[in-house]
Amino acid sequence: MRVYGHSMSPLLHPGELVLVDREAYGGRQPRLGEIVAVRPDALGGQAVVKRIAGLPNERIRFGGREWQLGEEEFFLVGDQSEHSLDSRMFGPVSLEEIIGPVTVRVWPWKLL
Amino acid sequence: MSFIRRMTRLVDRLLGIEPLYAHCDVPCGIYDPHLAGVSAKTVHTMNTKLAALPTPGPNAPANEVLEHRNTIVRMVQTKEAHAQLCKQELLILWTDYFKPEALSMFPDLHETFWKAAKLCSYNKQHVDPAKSQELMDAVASISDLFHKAEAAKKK
Repeated sequence: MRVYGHSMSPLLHPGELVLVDREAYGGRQPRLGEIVAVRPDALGGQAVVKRIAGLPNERIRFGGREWQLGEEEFFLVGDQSEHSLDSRMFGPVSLEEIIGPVTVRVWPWKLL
Repeated sequence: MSFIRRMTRLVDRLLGIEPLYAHCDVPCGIYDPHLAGVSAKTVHTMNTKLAALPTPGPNAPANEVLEHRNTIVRMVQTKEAHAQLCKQELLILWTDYFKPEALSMFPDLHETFWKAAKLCSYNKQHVDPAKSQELMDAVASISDLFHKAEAAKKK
């Protein structure tokens, strides 16, 4: 997949190619801090890349607001959190909405 | 869109490479009225549900009254958050996406956005399905302006 936008810089920049493991979450749960490709229902099918900042059943606080995550809900935030459009706006996402972890930045090469 | 970006998109499409958006406000230049539309719809749904919610009778048991209050608070909280999100998304489109040149194409641009932003605030303060329907209609009009502006860019 090709990255557009700056919300995951300095790790991912616009134009960079990344590999996403679509099978990873068949055998395990997403982990805190993992970078994932997600297709939130609220964005009408657009795939986005964010970092997992909250796991199921956790209580999350950001900028004076608070979210209580459900049993299968994950909270996503961009690394450039001041400018990122993420779970603070479109809400937590379910496991079904997560495509998979971003495992490799193809160029410049980096295992994530 | 630059020539290189167009070519990249074309090659990506041929190779089956999907876009992966690292959405942000500034400075990525990715704009979409879809989220404002979803937020306005959520506000309207909450208003409709709040208006239709039956009030427990004077002799209702304490747990029923408590459940009723809890439901109201949750609905109002959702309405509040989505009205704010809708306003924020509209302000991003208004101040970042539309440039001064857009006024020649849409002379009522400022009035349209100003009224829509005011409707977001009104819907935070009140429970009025007619007003949240107005908000949905206002966001739909703005979405229409956005798509017209996008179409004009491609000409």
